[in-house]
Parts: sequence; structure tokens; C-alpha cells
Amino acid sequence: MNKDELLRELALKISTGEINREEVTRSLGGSAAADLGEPATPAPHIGLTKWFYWLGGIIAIVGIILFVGQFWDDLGSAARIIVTLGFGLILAATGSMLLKQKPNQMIGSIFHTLGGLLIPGGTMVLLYELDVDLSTLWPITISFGLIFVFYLALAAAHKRPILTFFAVANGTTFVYLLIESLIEGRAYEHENLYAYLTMIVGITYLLLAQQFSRGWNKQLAGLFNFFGSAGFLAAAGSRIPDSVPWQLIYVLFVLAMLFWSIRAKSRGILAVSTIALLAYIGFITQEYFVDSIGWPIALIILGFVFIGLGYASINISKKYIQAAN
Amino acid sequence: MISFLKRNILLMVAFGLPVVFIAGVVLSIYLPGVSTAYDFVYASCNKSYGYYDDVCSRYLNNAHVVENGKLVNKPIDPTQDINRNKIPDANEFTARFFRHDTAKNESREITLGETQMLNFNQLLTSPDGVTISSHSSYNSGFFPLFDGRSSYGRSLVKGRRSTRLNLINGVDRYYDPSDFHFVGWVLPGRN
Repeated sequence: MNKDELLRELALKISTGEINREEVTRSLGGSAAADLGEPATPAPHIGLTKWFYWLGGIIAIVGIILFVGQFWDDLGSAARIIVTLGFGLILAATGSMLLKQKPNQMIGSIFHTLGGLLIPGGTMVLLYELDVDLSTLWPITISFGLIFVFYLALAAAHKRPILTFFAVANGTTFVYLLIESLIEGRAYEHENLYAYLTMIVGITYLLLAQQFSRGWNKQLAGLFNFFGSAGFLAAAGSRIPDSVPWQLIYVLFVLAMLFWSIRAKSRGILAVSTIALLAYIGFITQEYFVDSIGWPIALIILGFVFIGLGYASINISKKYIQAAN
Repeated sequence: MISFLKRNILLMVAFGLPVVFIAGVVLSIYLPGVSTAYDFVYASCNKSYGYYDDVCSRYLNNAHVVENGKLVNKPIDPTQDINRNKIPDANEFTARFFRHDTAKNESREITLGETQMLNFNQLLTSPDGVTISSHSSYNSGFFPLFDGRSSYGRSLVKGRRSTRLNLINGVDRYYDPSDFHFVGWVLPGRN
């Protein structure tokens, strides 16, 4: 590896968050800002550039949808497939090329974002236009499975968080569709099954967040912590109304999640756990105490409990999470 | 290898959990379900009014009854018009009979004469303890694109276990197949 390649590789690792400037400098035995000849904090214009990239991307995708929508009825099958799936694949290919050529710039990720938004919908258009039998969910399930594998391969190749995000999003959709395809028309309690599946997916997200917190997917850790805890606690909470064992066990789940928020240093989990605890206390009060103490007294007690929990939550955040971050 | 596993253990558990869940669902589907040594006969009308309609069921209840183990045709009032559509039920409905082979889980239409030659158990539960029960499956809109896919069907049920029945004209409809009329379990059984 020559000097240019080495520097390009280093720039890529820094831009993806796999290593940071401080770690590089520490290994060279100096201070980050001085040795790299850059200010310790990122210059404001870099953030602004990123925002323009994202804003441009969103405007472009809205424009594409509106433009194609105007002519949709006049387009033939081939044209419909080309402007959706075809265009999505072209954007993804362009994104990959840009990531190779300009690894330390955001532009490749922006193209991949646009492609990632178009490809799933484009695949549905492809199935519809090819007149695939959609009386069962299997064709759609298999399509999402392939998109999941596609993004998994891209994420492994480019090591970019946006590709990991699309891999996980399409993978999650695939898992739900697979379960629905398997049980379609069978005597299953769909609601129960999806509640348990959502709990599993929630735990999966929390584990992924933990894994991501020390690598090139670091930017996704907060997102997956939030959605993981929300999915798990919401799904577990849906079991409460009809089940006393779940009413007993749910509070343990919430407390475990509060503990996990400190360990994972995640304000997202802390916020979700606090909301879940408030909802749980509200439910238990309404279910068991309103008849004995009456609504007015219950509301007064609930109000103070909510204030206390809010205060405790803010303190936990300040003491254990913000301080650690 | 060991260091790779150590570094990626969370990732493997994260991907493993949904895989285990899916494997559990697959196992529950393909494990042997409820079986019975007895076939059964059911009737359906040539005509249904769909949503929550029990006109056919009421007609079949009046017209065909199992007495002393045999299917008996009961004369119905020629002016009877359950759904008050000014067409007498006798002119509007014709019963169709199906024998369901529970070993193969498939139904075959039989004539009224063939049905009347069969011996039936008088009970809803077969001699080996299996009952037919309706089930509904409803996707409560988890996927925005496929909101509200629902279907109704019938299953063989014994305890908590159940096996879906492939019936003619009565499974996977988007409304309750209320024109399914259970006639009886056929005696003797296969054993």
C-alpha cells in the first residue's frame, strides 16, 4: 500500500466513524488538533453542506415522484419499471461509484438514500407489471428478501451506515412478510404472533445498536436504541390489558430497559422507558385503584408520580448519560 | 476465528433471534396436526348472500336433519321465505353435500342419495374427540399496504391444537362462510 492509498484508507475510516482523529493522533503520540493541523471541532460549513445535500436529495425525490405521477397513467409497463426500479438501481450504482471515487464525501450516501427509497417500491411495480400472482404474499416476501440480501452485500462492501440502515429496514420488512406468508389463512392468533415478533425485533435492534456503538455504524446506534426499546415495550405493553402475569412482568421489563439506557448511554431508551412507565402506572391506577380512591385523588397522585418520574429521568440523563457522552 | 466470533457475537445473536422465531413458526406449522379416523359430511347452498348471512344455514337446518344416524329430508313450507325476498326458499336454495376425507384433507361432492346411505354420529365431536371449529385470521393492518386482509375458515380442533381444513366453497373467504352446514361424522371410521 503506497502513501496515497494509505491516506485514502485512513480518510475513509475516519469519515465512516470506524476510528476517530483522536485515536489516530494518540497512536502517533500527539494532540489531535495540533498534529492533524485541523481545529478540534468540525467547521460549521461542513454541517451546512451536509444539510444541503440532504435537503437537495429530499427535494429531488419529491420532484421525481410528482413528475412521474403526472404521466403515470400514460406510461407503459416497461417505462413504469424503468422510472421506478430502473432509476433506483441506477441511483444505487451511481452511489456505489461515488463512494469508491470520493470515499470521504457524503454524495455517495445521498445517491444511495434516493436509490434505497425507490428500489422497494420499484420492485412492487415490477411484480405488478409482470402480472405476478399476488393472491399470496410470497412474491412480495421473496422480493424483500432479495432486497435485504442486496443491501447487506452493499453494506459489507462499502461499510456505510445508510446501507446498513436499508439492509435492516428491508430485513425487518422481510421477516414480518415471511411470518405473514407462512401463517396466511391458518388458524393463528395474528395479533399475539406479531406482538411476540415485535418484541424479538426490538431486542434485535437493541443488540444491533450495542454492536454498532463501536464501529462504522456508530451513527445508527441511537436510532436502533430508540426503535428497539419502543418496539419491545409497545409490543409487551399490548399484552397487559388481558393478562395479569404480563401486568406483573411488564414493570420488570421497563426497569430493565431503564437500567439498559444507563449502560448503553442512550437517551432514546431512557425517554421510551419513562413514557412506558408513565403509561403503565396510568393503566394500573385506572384498572385497580380508581374504584377505591376515585378519579380526582387518582389524578392528583398520578400527577405527582409523573413529575417525580420526569425529574428522575432528567437526573439519570444528566448524571449517567450526558456526562458519559 | 474465535476473535471474529467474540467481536461479532452480538450481531450473530441479533440475527439469530428472528431466525429462531421463524423456525418455531415453521415447526408449529409442519408438525403433525390434529387428525381423526372419521370423515365428515357438510352441506352448502347453491347460493349465498355473503356478509354475515345465515339464510342458507337456517334453510339447511330446516330442510335436512340427522335422525337416528340417517339424513332425513324434512318437508318445508312451500311459502317459507326466510329472507323475505319474495322467492320461496324451496325455489331459491338447493343443498349441495360434500364428504371430507380427513386423511387427505380434501372434499368431494356427493349426491343427496349417497348422503342418505351414510351413517352419522349424532354429535358435533367425533368418536375420537375431534371437533370442527371456525377460525378467523385477520391482519390488523400491520403493513400499511396490505391493511385488513382477513379470512375465515374451519379447523379440526382437539384441545389447543388445530389443523386447517381445505373445504370447498368455505375457506379463505373475506367474509364468514355461514353457509357451511355440518351434517355429521361418518360411521364407521377408517380403523
